[in-house]
Order: sequence, then C-alpha cells, then structure tokens
Amino acid sequence: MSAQLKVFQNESEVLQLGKLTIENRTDRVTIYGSLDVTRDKAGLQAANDLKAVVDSIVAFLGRQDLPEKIVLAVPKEKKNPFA
Amino acid sequence: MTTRRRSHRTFHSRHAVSAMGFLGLLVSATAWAHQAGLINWQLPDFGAKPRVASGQTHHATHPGAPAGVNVSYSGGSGMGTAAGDSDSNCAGQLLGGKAPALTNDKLAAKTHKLCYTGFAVLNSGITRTPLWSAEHLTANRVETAQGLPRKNSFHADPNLATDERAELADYKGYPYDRGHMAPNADMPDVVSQKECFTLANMIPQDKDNNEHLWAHIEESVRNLAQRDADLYIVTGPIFDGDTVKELHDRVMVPTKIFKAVYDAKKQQAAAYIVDNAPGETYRVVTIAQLETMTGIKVFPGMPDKAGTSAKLELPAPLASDLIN
Repeated sequence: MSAQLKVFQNESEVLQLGKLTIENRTDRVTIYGSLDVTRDKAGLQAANDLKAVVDSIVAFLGRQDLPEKIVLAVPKEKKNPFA
Repeated sequence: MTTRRRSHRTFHSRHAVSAMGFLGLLVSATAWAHQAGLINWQLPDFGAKPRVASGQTHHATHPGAPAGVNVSYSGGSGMGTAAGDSDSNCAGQLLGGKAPALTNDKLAAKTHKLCYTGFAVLNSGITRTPLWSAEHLTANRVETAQGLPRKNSFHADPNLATDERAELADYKGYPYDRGHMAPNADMPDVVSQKECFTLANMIPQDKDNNEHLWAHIEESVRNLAQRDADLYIVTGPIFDGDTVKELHDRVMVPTKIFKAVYDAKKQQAAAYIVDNAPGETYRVVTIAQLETMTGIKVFPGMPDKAGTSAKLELPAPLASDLIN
C-alpha cells in the first residue's frame, strides 16, 4: 500500500480506511470510526491496509525506550477576549 | 469497502471494526511523552505566505490545487489586487451569497475570510481557529464524497499570516483532536478534501466529542442532505464564559460548538449546539437563539419568510440525548 503513515513521526498525516480514521501524532496514533471488512477483494485490501498500520505501530514502539505513560499538556486559562 | 446499502443508521463508531475486535474501538496507541516544552517551531515550507490586511477577503487555494482555481491575494503580498470584502468567490458555499456577519464586534479583530473549493472559512488571528466554516451540501455532493481516498495532511494555512494562524506544533502534546468544522466527509473531490485539512478549518476539540457525538451529528446532516437535497451549513466554535483555555498561549479552546443548517427545500433552519466536552447530549436552537449565543448572524442571506425563529426539525444523531 502506498498510503502508509510514518507513525509517531509527524503531526500531519491522516489515513481514511472506509469510515475508519487513523491520525498520526507524535505522542499517539488515534484510530476511530468504523470499518466493514467485507468478505471480498476490497475487504482483503482493507485488512492489509489496517494491518500495515498496526504492524508499523508495533515495530516503532518496540524499538523505543517507553515511559509507563505519556504526560499530556494542560492548557492555561486566560480572560475571554470576547466576553 | 462495504456491500451493504447505506442507511441512516449504519454509522457504528461505538462498535467499530467488526472483524477487528482486537483493536478495541478507540485505540490511542501512545508513545514517547511530548511535553509542552518540547515544541519545535518548525514550519512546513508552503512557499509564499502572503500577509493579508485585516478584514479582507482572501480567495485561497491549497498549494496542491490545480491551475485554474481562482487565487487572489489581498494586502501587501504583491501577488494580486486587493479583493475587497466581496463574498463573490465564496458565494457558492453561502446562502444567498452572503457570508455570516459578526454581530459581536470583539470577534472581528484579525479576521480573514478564505474561499476554498468546498467551503468558506473565517479565520480569527485571536483564537487561531475558524469563527465559522460554511458549505453548501447537496445530495449530489454527498454521493460524490463517498469513497474518496485516503491519505491527507493537516497543515498550517499557507494563505494566512504566520502570526495569525495555528501551527501543527500548537496542538502537539495536548489531549485534543484537531476537529474539522467543515467535515472531511462532506468534501466532493480530492482538492477540496486536501484543503479542508487546513488548521484554519480546525478547533481543539474534545476527543470523545469529535469521535462520537459530533461525528454522528455530521453523519445525520449528510443523511438529511441526501433526503432533502439542498442544505446550507455553517459550523463553528463558541467561546463563552469569563475565561477560556488556550494551547501554548496561542490557540483558544472553544467551550461549545454549533452547526447551523438551512434546508432550502423546507426553507427552515436550526442549529445543533454541543459542549466541547465528553458526552452524548446536544441541544437544538433557532437561528435567532444561535446569534445571541455566538455573536454571529450565520445566515444573513436567509429569505425573510423563512424567519430566524422557526425551527427546522434536525435529525437526531445516533446514540445521543436531546435536551431542551
């Protein structure tokens, strides 16, 4: 499949498989939506596409020295300029 | 991909991927911690980044757009003549050819209108988000949009001044999704789909909201477009309350999100309102009520007889609770 993601290596790439969305971030890969993997050629293609993404996630994480849990930033509050 | 007939109730994001339960539904595979301090202000190279004068209309195109797409830059870029504040190039997306009007003057600072192929958007250099994003959604457009591929890229908007636009790095390290206002799945062709991934069309959106309730609202509106053929839609953030959250002191986090729908066949309008927060509850308000909440007259081109107080019956999104 040509449309592969460089998982965890940019904040830009996004892949659509049916109604399944796979978004690349540098601290996470977000997968949401739904996908019917049908018992036909398109289904096999979809399964291979998804497998390629998951395989690359597993391979990437397997090479890293991982923390127990990532820490996400907390946005600051400011005065609402429109109030 | 799917052989079953599309129906109004086939969007199962809570029960995703029938053959792939191993994924769970919402996989957030997470790796190295990227703290707020690790921001790398590397900007993508989009070539010319014209600065535009405040209040100017800006007929934009994505760098990948084919020749022939109308591009006219205003301001001191030397790339074209000032386009003025005409809505003409955005007109296809706007009810009556008229852009939403800001009735809260405080919203107007540092705003720039961008006309893309599939939507028109007003960027705020204060929030570094859109204030509204408008589309004309027809049954035909929804049909055309189905099954479009595949790979796209979120990107800083090349047609905005660098100090007034969101960058990819602004969202980095925060729990929020980059939530589309004009949705990707509404875009009828590859060019408009690429363009809709501009951060000028994004807000920091609660993940649960974006991936469930809001996705269902978007799907319901597409279904309505398929039934009723001709909708004008204005989607945007609401910033209410005394204080607002902000990413990296740059991108403001909306407290609520609205999606206003005008049904040209029924000549009625209404708007969904949701909190930018987890949960499945939403409200439906009239266009007059929406204007009070947003400081935006979303459909200035609405025919008088449609009225701003009448309420279009909006379809209930899957797995949601309407509150009055």
